[in-house]
Amino acid sequence: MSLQHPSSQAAPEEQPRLAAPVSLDQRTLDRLMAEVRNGATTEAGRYNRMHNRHNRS
Amino acid sequence: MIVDTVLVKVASRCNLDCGYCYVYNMGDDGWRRQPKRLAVDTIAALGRSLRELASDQDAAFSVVLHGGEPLLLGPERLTLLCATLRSELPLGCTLAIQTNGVLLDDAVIEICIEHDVSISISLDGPKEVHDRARPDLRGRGTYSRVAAALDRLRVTPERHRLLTGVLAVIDPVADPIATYEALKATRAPSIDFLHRDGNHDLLPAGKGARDTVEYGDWLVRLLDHYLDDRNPTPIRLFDEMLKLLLAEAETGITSPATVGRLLIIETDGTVQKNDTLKSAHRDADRFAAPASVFEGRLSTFMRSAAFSEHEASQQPTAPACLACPYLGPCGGGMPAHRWAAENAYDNPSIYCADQQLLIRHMRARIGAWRAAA
Repeated sequence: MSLQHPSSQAAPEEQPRLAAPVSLDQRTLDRLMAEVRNGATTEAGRYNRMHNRHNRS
Repeated sequence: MIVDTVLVKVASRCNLDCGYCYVYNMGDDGWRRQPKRLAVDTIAALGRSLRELASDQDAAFSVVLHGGEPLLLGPERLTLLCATLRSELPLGCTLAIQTNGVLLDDAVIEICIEHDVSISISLDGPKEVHDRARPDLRGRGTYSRVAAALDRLRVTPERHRLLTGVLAVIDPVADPIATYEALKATRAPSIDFLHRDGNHDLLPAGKGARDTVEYGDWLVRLLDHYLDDRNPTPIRLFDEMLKLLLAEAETGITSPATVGRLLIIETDGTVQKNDTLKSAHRDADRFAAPASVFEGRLSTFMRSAAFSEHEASQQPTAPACLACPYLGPCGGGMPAHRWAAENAYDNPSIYCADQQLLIRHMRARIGAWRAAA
């Protein structure tokens, strides 16, 4: 039995309002999408589960 | 089951006294029972054992020298360790060190150049933020010594090539943008952020309650700044999650990708569980009957019931997680952050609300980006 945690219930997919107009020059997302298309993704959720206290990117 | 990272605790002590440290300041005292540093015979056994592991799994892995503070190993033994690993391991294996930087002098850098050991440095942000969190054992700030180490790494391209990143623990009171800009100014090629450790019985500093979002707000502010930065330094925490969300947006599924495993070897040569479990309760990271580099083969232990049980325990189990639409990119969080004395790891992460906020914002940013494309 898990502890009650209201915020972790499956939440409806709401879209937060963006505080300011989004820049069209999104080079980070462009770079990451290119990496995704080259197959460079890790196991879903592994990073957050197994964060191992070093940075070797 | 393939190991992609071996974390070796080459020194069990540290020369800093960071209040948030999961090794020394969260109730576990297993470090007191460890040798202060890797012994010569342990280095030899470690090399042999890792060579067997690479052969058994027919795949290379990264070896990360960790601690405590790994540079407390001293230059002579560090040289022996690196030479042993380079001699025993196949060419595809990489060596890396995660250090607080205080002892990173020219001699150590030369050792790293000779044995091709990449370096990541722990730096929490601007001087006032770093010094508040990371004092030495006399209570003195360490920022100036870490900054000097970074300077030494930037002297030549050959040295700069070794620097793979800086690693910061989030201070939710600090300004996230000033923190990022200070880390970016180091000219490290990558930045990573860690949440402070805590659990349901002991919330980390800066988190008021399980359903408050101090860390989520901090990360959302940073995410916006990062995505709008025209000359960004990659932030691994964001990139790993964003790539999963981009894959999801592109294909409708989060990527299955390659499954790799982490192996942790203590200073006495025994295999332990994920070391961050120390923050949950005393000896939480210890196997009842741990394998050792002195006997048997690591690949055999990894097929054991004890190791399989540990692997399974890393997966989220709380019903709220299993039904959560954010589970893919979130992963359920670190097991240590799911801990409660009442029901062990069968809970969402204490950072659940923060993660949901961040993932919603990432999805919104990706949606806006795709709409504009």
